[in-house]
Amino acid sequence: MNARLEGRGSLLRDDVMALLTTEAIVLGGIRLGEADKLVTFFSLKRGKVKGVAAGARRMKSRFGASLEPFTHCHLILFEKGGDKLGRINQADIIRSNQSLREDWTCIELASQMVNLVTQITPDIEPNMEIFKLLLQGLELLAVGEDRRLTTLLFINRLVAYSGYQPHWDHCLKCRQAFKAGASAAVYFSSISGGTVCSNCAKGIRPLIPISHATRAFLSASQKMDYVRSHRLKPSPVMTQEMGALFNDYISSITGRRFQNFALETGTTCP
Amino acid sequence: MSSTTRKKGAFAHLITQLMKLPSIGRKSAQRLAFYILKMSSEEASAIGQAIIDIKEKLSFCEICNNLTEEPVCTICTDPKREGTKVLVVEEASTLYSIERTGEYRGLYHVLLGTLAPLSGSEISGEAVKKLIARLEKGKISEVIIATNPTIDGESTSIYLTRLIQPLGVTVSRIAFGIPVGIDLEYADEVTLIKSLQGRRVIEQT
Repeated sequence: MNARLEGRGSLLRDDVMALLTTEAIVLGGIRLGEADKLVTFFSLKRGKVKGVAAGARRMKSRFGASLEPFTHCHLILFEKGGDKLGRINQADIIRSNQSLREDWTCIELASQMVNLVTQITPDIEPNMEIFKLLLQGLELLAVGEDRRLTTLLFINRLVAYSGYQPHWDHCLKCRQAFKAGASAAVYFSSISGGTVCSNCAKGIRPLIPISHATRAFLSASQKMDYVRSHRLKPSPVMTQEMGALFNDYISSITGRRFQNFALETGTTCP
Repeated sequence: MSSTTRKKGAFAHLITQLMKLPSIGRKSAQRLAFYILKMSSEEASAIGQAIIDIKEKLSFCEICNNLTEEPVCTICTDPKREGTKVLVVEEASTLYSIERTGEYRGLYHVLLGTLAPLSGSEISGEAVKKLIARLEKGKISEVIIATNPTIDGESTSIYLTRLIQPLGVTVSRIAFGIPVGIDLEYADEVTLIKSLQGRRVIEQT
């Protein structure tokens, strides 16, 4: 492929058309027209891209189940340049993640993962770390034991990879590093994007109080490999604190109310 | 006459209106408009009246949400129907596809939508309440869920199963697999797995 067309999509001029061949994860799709589908992918080479799959809803469609959400596939997309929607030429399943679509908890948590990626990432901006994270997150949800922890760790990492990395190790205002095992309260400010100590908390609103254990957990888990970070086991109180913190932080990033399913202990089937 | 019609003229207005129909582009709309133009006034009026009629006379069946001109649809009032089975579909269009097969002789229930976990939209509570009320009467012994094999259809199926099973009613799901007339080598992995999971023993003849 022309080197100029690789990477950021903003380089793709309005009059340039290109065939994009890449690995991609299906984020979702909506019905379009009589039998078509408008599908959103997170692709390895181009980040979030959209394309129209003509006739995808017909019984003998060549796309089959390859455009169902959470599917990891080989995508061939004919990009038309500019803001025009691409045409999906081919999508071959690499890993279907079908089990995620057959269990209510998995549907909820996997939907949350792909929805967050859809909302947080800009169009046509490749991010290999997010691609790998989403791939691992969905795989871990499909086979994992602690699915809610998988989702919380996913959110913690996603905000960092998207450029919203909160400061966990020091106070945002006085820059003083937090000491391990300290007893004084710590607060999280979604607007400032990090933690503040109790001395600096005055005047900053709104604030979410968190324990030092939660702050240390979030800091440590972000420094570890995503799969290995599952060895860390938070207490139920820490899980609650992380859930409340991310609800507020994600809502402030996306401007939409965020409901963290990873917080729920039982079924949330309506 | 509306201002748009006055501006564009009746012919252009008809083309614009026809283009609102699915799969109708400008060229198709133009072809249809010319065809209507060649029709007799009675024939053209009949088409117009038919469109007005379906908007004015059709409503949802009080029992199953099927489209009907009466308060209760002909399927629900048919005494020859098997009253112990209810087939649950997303839209009335699916009901007509199943009816065309002539194989199913039970009753129906139209949900008028599905759960959509990705977009967060919820199913019509009224349609579900109606279904549960029908089941609580005790005559129905089996509910066949025939929602689409998509994430929305699957979520709806899980949701309904959780609601219906405690009532002591058998819940079954329509089979998934290979469509008739295709080469297996072109089938995708998920469809093949589903067809293997849903395989059946061949009965000796």
